Amino acid sequence: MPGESLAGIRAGGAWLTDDGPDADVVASTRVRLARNLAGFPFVSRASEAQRREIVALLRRVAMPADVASRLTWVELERTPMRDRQLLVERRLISRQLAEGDAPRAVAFTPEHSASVMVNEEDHIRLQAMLPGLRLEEAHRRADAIDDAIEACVDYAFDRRWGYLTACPTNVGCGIRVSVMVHVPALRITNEIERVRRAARDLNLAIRGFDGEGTEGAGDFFQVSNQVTLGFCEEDLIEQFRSSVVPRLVEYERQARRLLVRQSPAALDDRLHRALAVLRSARLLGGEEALKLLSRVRMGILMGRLRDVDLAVVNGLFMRLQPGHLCAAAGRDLGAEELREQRASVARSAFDGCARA
Amino acid sequence: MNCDHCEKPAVVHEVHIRNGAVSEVHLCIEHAREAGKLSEASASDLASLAGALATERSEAECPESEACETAAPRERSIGRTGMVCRHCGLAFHQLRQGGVLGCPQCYEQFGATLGQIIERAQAGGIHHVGKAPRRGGARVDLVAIRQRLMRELEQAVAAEQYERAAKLRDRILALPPPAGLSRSGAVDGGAGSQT
Repeated sequence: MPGESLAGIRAGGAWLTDDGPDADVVASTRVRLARNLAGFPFVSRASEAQRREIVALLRRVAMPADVASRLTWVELERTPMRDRQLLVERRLISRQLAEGDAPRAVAFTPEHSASVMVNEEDHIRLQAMLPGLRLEEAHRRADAIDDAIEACVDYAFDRRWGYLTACPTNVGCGIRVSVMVHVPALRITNEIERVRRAARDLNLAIRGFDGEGTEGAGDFFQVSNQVTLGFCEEDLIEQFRSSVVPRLVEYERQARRLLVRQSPAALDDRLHRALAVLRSARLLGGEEALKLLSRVRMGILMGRLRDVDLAVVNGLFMRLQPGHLCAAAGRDLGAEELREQRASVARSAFDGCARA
Repeated sequence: MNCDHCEKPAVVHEVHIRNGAVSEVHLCIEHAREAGKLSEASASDLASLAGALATERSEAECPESEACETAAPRERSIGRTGMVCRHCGLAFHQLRQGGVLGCPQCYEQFGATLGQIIERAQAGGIHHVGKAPRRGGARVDLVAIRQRLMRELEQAVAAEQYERAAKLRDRILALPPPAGLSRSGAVDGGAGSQT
């Protein structure tokens, strides 16, 4: 199945290049649900045989489900690291699921906007992702997958504690609502700390582009709820919709307006230089590419870089990552080859865009 | 327990074990903030859980003695409860190390001690209010939720947190009436938005 999975992975992912409501600041929305099967120990204490049984059981459940009529099912044990890396970069699986050698799997939809991870920290981690700020829709989709799975299996559930999860920080609704925000202007104006503090006061976790375990190093970071018990799903989402996200979006928009007011020429210089490097560089590092793309993305969304296609830029965030570069080259690449390949992919992507 | 540096009650407790030597730190809000403990504790959910686990007091007793086995005395002497889950064999101190439970039954087996940890990690949440699986007739305990919300409402009024009190009142009013207990499936506790 690895060959098949690789083809499936390359074809999908359209959602990553689209934009959505408030896309100038909110890059994407994700709702993840953690579930466990009754009658099995949690993953960390399950034997290899039990883990295999869980994978087999969920495969039977997931494959014929109505919501997932055309799911791709990948058993990660038998999948080469290069393909697993690709799945991580598509955000279909976590780094934790990619690594390790125990029986585990992932099912995902053709457009790659939803996936079900099997035997991650919990037996089931299912997630729905959408571009821009679309909390309710992402929740509805995740909820529908949850209902379809639940129709076939018994979940570990307790009247008091709700959905029982391996880590007590997820118990209750088992829900993690995350928005990936793009805040380059707050970084340029050095106000990112203010945002971090505000988020912490609201009991929210802040993580970097790569999610769990990373600090927000670049211009992107992920904000998610920490509390999962004592509130219903709708209340947790409402908190995001009505207070957290609008505040973040407003901070960033203010900072962008400030940059324009202070010195439009300096801002335009920054944006055009970023674009020029992406169009001309012969060697590009990963972090550098991320920073340049971030500036170009902001420039487009501020209406200051008019002849560049946002979908091309959004696509490059994904395509310039190591797994995608190796997949495009059809082989594993060394560090220097990666830099060369990254510059080459960026140049040809922008060749397709009209020049200013 | 008072703060190590002043007479105020301590709110941050840490147990440090280094090379077998155990030391404890107890700090009030101000001194904890000064020491940078508070912002660290809320930095991530794992950190907040670790904080909650570290504050777990050694005097915490096993709530259901039948369900527990007592570990070696050495374990107790360094301030760990010696509970072991009868279903999966996870010892309570392993939860502290790994941050994850062993099986669904651990929640019941570790009883009130785990309950206190969860309450701290969940910013005071003590009862599930939300979706429930339709299979097996699982249902959220509405009576308990109502009681819990009423208690929170009283506390909010006493603390003059009127905005919070108003929200709690709305949530109580939005709960299905007692006759709704016969309703199967999910209970939302919110504004009746779930179908």
